[in-house]
Amino acid sequence: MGGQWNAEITLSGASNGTSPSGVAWSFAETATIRVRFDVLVDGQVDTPDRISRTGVATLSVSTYFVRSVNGTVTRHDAGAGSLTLASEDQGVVLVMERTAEGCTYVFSSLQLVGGIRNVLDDYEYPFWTFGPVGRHELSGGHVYFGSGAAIIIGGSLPPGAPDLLQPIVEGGGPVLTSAGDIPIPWQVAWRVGGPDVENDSRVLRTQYSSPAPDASDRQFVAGRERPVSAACTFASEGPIAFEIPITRHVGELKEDGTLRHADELIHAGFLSPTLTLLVPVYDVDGGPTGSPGRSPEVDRVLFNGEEIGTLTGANDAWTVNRFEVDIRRVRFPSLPDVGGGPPTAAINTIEVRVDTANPGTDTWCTAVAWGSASFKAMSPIVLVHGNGAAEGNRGYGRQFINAGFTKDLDEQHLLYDTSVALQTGTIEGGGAQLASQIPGVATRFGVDSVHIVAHSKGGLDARAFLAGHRTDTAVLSLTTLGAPHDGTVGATLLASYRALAMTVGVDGETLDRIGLNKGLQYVTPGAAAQFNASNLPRLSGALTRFFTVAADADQNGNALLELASEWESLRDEVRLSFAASLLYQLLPFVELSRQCGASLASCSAALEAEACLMDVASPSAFPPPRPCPSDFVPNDATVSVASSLGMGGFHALAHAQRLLNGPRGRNHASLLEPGVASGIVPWLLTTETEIGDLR
Amino acid sequence: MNARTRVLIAAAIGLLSNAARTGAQPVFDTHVYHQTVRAVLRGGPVEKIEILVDPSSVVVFDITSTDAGAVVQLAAPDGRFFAPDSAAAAGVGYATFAGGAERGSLASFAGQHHVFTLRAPAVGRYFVTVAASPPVAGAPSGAARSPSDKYALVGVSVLFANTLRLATAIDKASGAVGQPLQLLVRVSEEAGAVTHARAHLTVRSPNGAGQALTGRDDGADVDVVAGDGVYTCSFAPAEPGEYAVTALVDGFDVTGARFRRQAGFTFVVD
Repeated sequence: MGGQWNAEITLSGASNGTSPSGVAWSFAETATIRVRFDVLVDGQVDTPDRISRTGVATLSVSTYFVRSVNGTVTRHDAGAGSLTLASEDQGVVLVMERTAEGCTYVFSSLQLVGGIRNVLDDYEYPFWTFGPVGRHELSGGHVYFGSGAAIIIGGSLPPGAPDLLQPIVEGGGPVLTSAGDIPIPWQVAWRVGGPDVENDSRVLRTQYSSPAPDASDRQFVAGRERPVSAACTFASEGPIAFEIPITRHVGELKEDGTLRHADELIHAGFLSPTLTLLVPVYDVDGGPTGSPGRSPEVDRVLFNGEEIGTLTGANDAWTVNRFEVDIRRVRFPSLPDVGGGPPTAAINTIEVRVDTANPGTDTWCTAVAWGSASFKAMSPIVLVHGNGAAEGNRGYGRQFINAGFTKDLDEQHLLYDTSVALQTGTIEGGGAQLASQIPGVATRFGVDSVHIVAHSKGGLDARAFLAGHRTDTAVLSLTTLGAPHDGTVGATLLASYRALAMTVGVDGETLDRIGLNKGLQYVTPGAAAQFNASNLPRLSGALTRFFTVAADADQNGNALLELASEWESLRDEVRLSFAASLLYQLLPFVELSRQCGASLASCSAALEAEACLMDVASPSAFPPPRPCPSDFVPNDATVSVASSLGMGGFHALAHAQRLLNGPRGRNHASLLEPGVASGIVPWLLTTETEIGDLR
Repeated sequence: MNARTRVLIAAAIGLLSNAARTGAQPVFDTHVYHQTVRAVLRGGPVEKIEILVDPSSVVVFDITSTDAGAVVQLAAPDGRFFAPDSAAAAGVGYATFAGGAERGSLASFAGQHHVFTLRAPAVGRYFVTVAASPPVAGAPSGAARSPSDKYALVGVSVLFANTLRLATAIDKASGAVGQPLQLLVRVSEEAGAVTHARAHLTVRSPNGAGQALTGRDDGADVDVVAGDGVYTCSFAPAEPGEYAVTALVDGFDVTGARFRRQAGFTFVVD
């Protein structure tokens, strides 16, 4: 427990269910639930592991009740700190032991480690707003973990208890509505004080600050290992100074380490305007002194050398002071090179100048337990390339830069990464490579969550990653650009060529280099159908939000790519419009033919498309003398719109989709050109504000 | 709802129904081309590639060579020759363009594409002739038959304006050593399944060894239904790696005209 957690319960096994708000949750791995209580002694929060460490609180779990979906409750008295859950189990009730009387126990914090992240995210807000100031006082009762979330129940259900309590309480099981119904009294073993405490007025006796919060990629903490102040500090002992290291890269820096584009990031909503600094301080005597010639206590607080305010508090008590610091004053770390590990921490200094109103005297002292600095910032975007980009020195993810996709991101000062490099091959293999590379990207930015934007087959690779691999990096969103979710018939043609070439003795590596690569066989319609059959069920209920972008290359609706803006990027040779149109016509023809061949029903649409294709394929008369039919299967000259939107099944998981058509139309290559990313960013921003670091 | 949207929805329904059929059943990939590939010796004799054209309103030859300087001609069964500089005069469409890996679909085949379009083509045997450029001085002798200074890789895709279709499938997403796989070839046209064709399959193992197989549509052994136009054979991979399959089907369509279609696919054994 490390001295911090009063209870730590390891859950293992498999369980699943649906939260009150309708979010499916499950875990199939080991998860740990940690819970911590503060103890109120004489109305003061008394935490055993802070400051003077004169007491140790041990709340132990003696009994567990496990509730299944049918309301059956089973009791486990072992109290060994671990439980194995069955798939039908819905929640766990913990009964805590106590040994002392006369104390009030204040639920302090909860931590869920591993396994059931999506549940925590769903419940986090209802939980933390539960009870006054985010806490709930226990004067007797149970600690309840229901459906994966922790719920505190006192003598009776408190006002404003989340609705999620009700089904559990009403569903039976151990009676939870009154202290008298508790089968085993919960007890606290509590030792206070020590021989050195009574005689030293500067020792904090039984007064303890609240414990330091956990550090994260948006909250940075000083004083976790030991308190900032060992004792109450007078002015003659110098200022109380401590450093908060920030290890998250947020954007381009000025020479002094502050953000170069803070105003733009704040204006766009990508960054909080302030950094919130929390500092628990002890014994700030701001009222009347009672001593002639002595001024009330004034303790000035400086952040990186600039004053941000003075401390407030009360005599012989801990008070958490909160300061909102202009984010433009905050120093952030620079971005390491690719593979260079995490950012080197940027040091931000906090200084408390004690009792400045009484110079030359040691009238008042104060102490600082810890300091935390938190802010909200957008997570970086990982750009994942498509099939075959690893071959032919095409620069992996640099195609996003070369084609101009990142121009929009640069203009908005958003963070992105183009270092992901996937060797061409299976979709599952691509997923495994992403699982090994994306945590490194997150480490480089100092974050634990990212967005993914993936082009073409990269979108399927990312789906395989999300369905089959678990990492410490949360993927908040996946946006696919022209991804062949249902395959593409173009791949069938090329994969066929590859097979034929191999049978005449051409080696696979050579074929990889000339565009007949081994990744094609995995994005044919048949292969995609098999992939979807296994992948889609595993994506259901994922935390990640999905977005799709599809494109129609035909901008003027004549089913030809005769405009330069329609075929640019695809081709740079003579008779470009002809060749591009051939591609554009080929896909719908083959798609319609495929359906015709599969159903053996009317093939008239295919024949009509075929006639159009034949016209286009007679370039001596290009553009063709008669227009192609307008009721055509639109595509980006490589992937059909229907496939890019995942109409074969993936679309049901998508939060939003976008079709770039008409004048905004794009071909498969120009999907990576400027203008596309700006349409995606609002999706990412919404995701961030709802489930990401901008919450 | 405009016409395009309707078609989009129709396509989606088609895909959905296709997905619904997936289950444990093999999913076919349809090939609308007849395709063949040759490795042509640079500076060597002219390579002749035979293509059988069955009745079609139009036929398109897409001849792609990794040797941009290769000389390509097309000989029709009626004795006519079509070359890039004479095709137009002969009433045959011709265009050429360079493919590249980033260009999508068929044009991803990085080579010089020569496209001949023939309306109301004569039925019978056509010959694509390819004369590759002379080898570059100093080219290594005995090199593998790969696109190089010594060899040019030539691919021919022929698109027919008729409804005869070849489709291929494998019964597993990926194979395992020693576990038999079913390789399936389906032949159909608008009128229905094409029966009594001959399906020849060649499987090339990762070690380069080839194995000839014959697909059967008699309802025996691994074939489930006789006469459904699905020709089935079994293959047990002996080593891990990428396998290449060539499926060549010849037979007679409902009009009694002879046809020939060839396509390929690959699969990986873990």
